[in-house]
Amino acid sequence: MATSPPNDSERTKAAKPTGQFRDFVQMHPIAVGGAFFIVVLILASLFAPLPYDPELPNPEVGISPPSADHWFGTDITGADVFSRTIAAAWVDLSLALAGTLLSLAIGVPLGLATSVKRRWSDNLVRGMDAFQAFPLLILALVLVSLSGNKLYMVVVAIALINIPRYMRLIRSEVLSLREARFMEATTAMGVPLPRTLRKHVLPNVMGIITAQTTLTMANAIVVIATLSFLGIGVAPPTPSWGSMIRSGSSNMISGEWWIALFPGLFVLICVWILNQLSDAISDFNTRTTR
Amino acid sequence: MTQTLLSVRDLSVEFVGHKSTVHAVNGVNLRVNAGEIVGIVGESGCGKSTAVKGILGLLQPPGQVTGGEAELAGHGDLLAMKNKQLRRVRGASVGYVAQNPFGSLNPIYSIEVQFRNILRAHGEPASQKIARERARTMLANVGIAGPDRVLDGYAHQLSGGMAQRVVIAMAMLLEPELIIADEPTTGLDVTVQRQILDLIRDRVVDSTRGILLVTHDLGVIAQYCHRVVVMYAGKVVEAGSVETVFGDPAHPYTSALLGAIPRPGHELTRLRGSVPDLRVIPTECSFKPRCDYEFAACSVSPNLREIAPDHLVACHLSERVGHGTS
Amino acid sequence: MALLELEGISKQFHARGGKGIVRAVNDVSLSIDAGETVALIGESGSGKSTLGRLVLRLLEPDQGAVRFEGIDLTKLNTKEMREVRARLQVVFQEPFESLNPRMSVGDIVSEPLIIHNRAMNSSEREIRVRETLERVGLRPDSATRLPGQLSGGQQQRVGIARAIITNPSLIVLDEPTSSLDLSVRAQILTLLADLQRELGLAYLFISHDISTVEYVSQRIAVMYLGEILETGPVTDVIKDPRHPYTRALLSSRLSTDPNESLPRLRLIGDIGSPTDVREIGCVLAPRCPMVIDACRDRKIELEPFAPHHDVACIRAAETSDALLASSSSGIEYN
Ligand SMILES: Nc1ncnc2c1ncn2[C@@H]1O[C@H](COP(=O)(O)OP(=O)(O)OP(=O)(O)O)[C@@H](O)[C@H]1O
Ligand SMILES: Nc1ncnc2c1ncn2[C@@H]1O[C@H](COP(=O)(O)OP(=O)(O)OP(=O)(O)O)[C@@H](O)[C@H]1O
Ligand code: SF4
Ligand SMILES: [Mg+2]
Ligand SMILES: [Mg+2]
Repeated sequence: MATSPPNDSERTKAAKPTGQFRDFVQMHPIAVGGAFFIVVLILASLFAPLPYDPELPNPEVGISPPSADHWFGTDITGADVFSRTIAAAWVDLSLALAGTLLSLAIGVPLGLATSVKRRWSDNLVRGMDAFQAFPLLILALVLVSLSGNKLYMVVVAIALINIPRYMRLIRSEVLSLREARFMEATTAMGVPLPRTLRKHVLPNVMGIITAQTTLTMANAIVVIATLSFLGIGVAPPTPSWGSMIRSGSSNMISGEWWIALFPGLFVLICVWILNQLSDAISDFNTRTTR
Repeated sequence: MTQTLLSVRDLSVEFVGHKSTVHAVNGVNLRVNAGEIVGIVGESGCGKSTAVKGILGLLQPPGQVTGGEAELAGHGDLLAMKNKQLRRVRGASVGYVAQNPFGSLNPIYSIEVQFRNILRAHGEPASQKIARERARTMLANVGIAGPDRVLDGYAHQLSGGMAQRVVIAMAMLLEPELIIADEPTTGLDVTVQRQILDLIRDRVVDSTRGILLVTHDLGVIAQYCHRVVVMYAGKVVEAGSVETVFGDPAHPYTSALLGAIPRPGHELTRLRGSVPDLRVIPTECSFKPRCDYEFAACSVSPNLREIAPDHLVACHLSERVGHGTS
Repeated sequence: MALLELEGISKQFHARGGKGIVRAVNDVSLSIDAGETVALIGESGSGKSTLGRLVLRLLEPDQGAVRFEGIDLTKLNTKEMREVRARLQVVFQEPFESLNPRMSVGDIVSEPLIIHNRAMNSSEREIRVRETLERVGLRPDSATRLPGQLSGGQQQRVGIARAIITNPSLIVLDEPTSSLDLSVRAQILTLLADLQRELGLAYLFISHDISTVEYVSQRIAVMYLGEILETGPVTDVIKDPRHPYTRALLSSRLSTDPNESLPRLRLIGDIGSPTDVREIGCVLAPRCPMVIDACRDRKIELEPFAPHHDVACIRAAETSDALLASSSSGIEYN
């Protein structure tokens, strides 16, 4: 005899990835708009023809306020602030991205490993805690300046700051996930560990990883700006937001506000957008499974 | 003559969302007499808790009462009361036991302090000693062996059964005429469940008090209630004395529920489908899609009618001669 | 030979957040034959789920043997155990929590095949998944859905589909219907009964609902504080319970017939704490209305009372409602 026909009610909702993306756009238009802005900024910084050569001083023009010719004005050397600000986007954001990706690549597996193998991991985690107690910005400062201002060291420094954070986050997520009933079902089915990690653990921590990644990006942008503000890392004439703020800051008092303001604004906007995005992702993440 | 303690007429509750509105309770009528335990049964999501919270003015937005009245003997319409007045009635004249006992206990105060707060809130300025004494008596009444240990403790130190008893003791502290208990025993062991129900029953039998008991356990209704109200999709579909409704159910939903109780040697009734979407107001009988007896008349929503003294049914079948679903 | 044989298994935990140890399961022996349903009933905290987990080897027993198809599972390594898991499955109480919320229904149901039926290619798997979904009363197109998009009853059907897809011989059902509504519960119970008949499954059915147990099982084991106090054919045990605890437990059940009121027996005091179980003597002794000195002197073993009907009580032959009620009279509430 056959059992009863399909008979409980079914709620309908888009389950396909494309449908999910559409839902996300609908639910968080500001965050999506912001992400779009950053992408356009990077593309423009890479490919768009800038009105002036960002690295070329123009002593004839000298310092000048925003005008139709120079939208964001020019700095002391007469270089175009708009062109420099846009060009700096790629320099700053690519470094931030590289640092973030490196911390992801190391932090996530480490977090997974420490949550599976408990015995040795407790020591590692304790070590990492001690490491985090160290003023990390100073560490980054020391590292980069000792390396003789190598850019890759900026990336390494960002990773060093963020790896322990990822590790902690993943570890605590996975440890609570391990208590979940479906993980017990997984064991009862005999799912091997690698598959468990790939199919059951990762997808369930993915949302939180993504949310954290956007935060890390924001944090990295600030670190890079701070370093170059202190004259470390990206060195002039290569444009970077931090060094532009630094060189413009002395002009602030004399009334030439535009040199520092525009790059400062861009740092602010990028950080704000990434924070919005992070919130949006966490929100979407909790909603889609209920 | 039996005195009516609570009389609810045409109660409606909606949850207004920006995309859709959930019509959780649609014109519910019920009555609790003195000395009576009245049970409300129905599947999950049919609006039992919402109705009860509506009566007590405890709905959280977006939930709102959109119509009806709830007359409490000697106090007037609860739904028309101002918040301040309602707060005084709640506790003093109507005790409420919520679905989740831990939700109604404050984790940061000791149990004693919570008892004292109830007394204070209702203007019974008892000394600390008297307050403790009253709380102790109440806890002993609900069968807690070491009331002192419980009074000095905190919510998280209690087992589910203990917490439930504490909440019931709190609801009974001011000796209200009416107690409304929302699934007071769901999730508890049968042994504990019976203790609690016995205790609730002892408060009512041969008294002027009454109890409105929400449950989805038909055994609880059969053994403890005098009258029963069967709810389906936010409406009352059948109401009457327990003997009548269980012995000779007139609504196909009631029959189906009774048939779904596992009994050795009996086939289980398979109720098709599930509760309807409460976002749309149906024009037809809301049970029609799942009903084995539906016929032409069922495309119009039936009204609750009295088919025998104190036996109300909302089903077109009962209008036909020789009604019956068995 | 029995399909499953538990021989003197015990499991202790360190009490959560407190001191002392919890004897969750204490020297339990039980057997299940192929195609049979054995119900495990008892109050909350009596160790039912722990016993279920020991059977599934989700927990390692401190002592004793778990023999499944004649093999002691406690001796197997992970790989050998994986082999067995295809034929030993589980369905949990919480339908939603036991499904990965980010995996589609199709992926959830096909996962056991991927692990256990390696030779199967993806189109064969897909056919099998469709068949199984239909078998448990779900539309095949629910394969693309996420668990959160299904109702509780449908989620439990998915859990059942996952459990039966590898043709197991034993399924541990840990309160599979406790969180479901009455009407949905009836659907799931009927489904489980049909599947058992067609596939020859054996069930270890954990429950605290006596009417459900009476309906589904052939044999019953009553647990209290980690020990089995009585076991036997369901009709014998329910009609004539010989252990005072069984009698008290059964008497607290609520008949759904308003005209039938069952005699009511109460034990003294609350259910004891598993942390302070006595070393020797009957576990029920502190609460038992029939207790005599001999009950406290030695370990009370499960002993045959009638054919297939074992009771762990030295006064089993005397147990009666009258005796229980008379000795408990005058006792305070509960
Ligand atoms: N805050 C809310 N917003 C929207 N809908 C709600 C809200 N709270 C409850 N509902 C809906 O109102 C209906 C009635 O819910 P209610 O909690 O009263 O059911 P119930 O009969 O008490 O069920 P249960 O047996 O599960 O406690 C349900 O369909 C529910 O989805
Ligand atoms: N991992 C653990 N750590 C500590 N104590 C535990 C653990 N698992 C279970 N226990 C304890 O063991 C005892 C038996 O628990 P178990 O879950 O087996 O009971 P149960 O009969 O299934 O109860 P319920 O009906 O509430 O599900 C309880 O006292 C419980 O608190
Ligand atoms: S052995 Fe003694 S204490 Fe235990 S149940 Fe029997 S009579 Fe009661
Ligand atoms: Mg409710
Ligand atoms: Mg359990």
